[in-house]
Amino acid sequence: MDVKKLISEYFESAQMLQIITTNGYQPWGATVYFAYDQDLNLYWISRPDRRHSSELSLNKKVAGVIAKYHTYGEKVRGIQIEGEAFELKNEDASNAMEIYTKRYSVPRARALNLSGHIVYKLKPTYIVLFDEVNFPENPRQEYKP
Amino acid sequence: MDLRKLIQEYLASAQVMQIGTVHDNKPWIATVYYVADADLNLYWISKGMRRHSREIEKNSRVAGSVVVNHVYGEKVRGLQVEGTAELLKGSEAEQGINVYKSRFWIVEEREKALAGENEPAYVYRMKPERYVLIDEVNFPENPRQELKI
Repeated sequence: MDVKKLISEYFESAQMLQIITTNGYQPWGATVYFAYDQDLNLYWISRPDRRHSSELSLNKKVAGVIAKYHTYGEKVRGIQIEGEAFELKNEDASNAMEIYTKRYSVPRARALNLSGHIVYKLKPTYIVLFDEVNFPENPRQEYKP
Repeated sequence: MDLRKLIQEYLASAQVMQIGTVHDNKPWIATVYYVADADLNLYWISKGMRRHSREIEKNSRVAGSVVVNHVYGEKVRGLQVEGTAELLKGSEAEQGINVYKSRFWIVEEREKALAGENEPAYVYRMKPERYVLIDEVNFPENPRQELKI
């Protein structure tokens, strides 16, 4: 089974990404709506004064989870990601906003909603697909982009 | 509005939490089923060999996120929490397992792991220091509400 394809399909089926940032010792979590590209990079928009954004400006290391809603006892599917996240500027930001606004069918100005949101990119270095549906014998599948 | 009560209700409405750990300036995140007690402590069971469990042994500082499913455009509700986590032992572990069983059943394989067989599993407790409830439904003017424990 093609793990990259399964990851891409999983991305397509979800909207929410949980990220963890750190100041070096204390972790912090935040939830964002994400878009993605064919190389499995993830994009979101956030206000720069949020704690996760200010931590990213000091330390790009980030971890993420895309977990769909399960109830206890169901077969589990989920994705864990490790990588670096950073603010995009100029043409890179513009291209990312194209991907983001297309996914959520929102006008660009509304997505940025005039309150100073900026665009972030998570470039994964390591993705774990945990998938008890497609890999019941060995649900932990690793992928390095 | 009673923020503590809203947080309790929110915790009761969800089952899954993302737990964030840090080692060597690098964050990691995992998903666990959790149970909250009356003091808003959170309990879960994990294998000791999992990365988040190993990192908690080295650095007990953790962050958690509890988010019920939304689609883009809906009013947002979500909970962030920070505090410390520890592996429970002895009578505290027994109490923790009882709290866990108040909400979830434990399958035979997991019981064996809790008894130390195969890949051993343990019960963990997160003691929160601060909850942040983002709640555009109940606090539309100021959705970010903080509760210090």
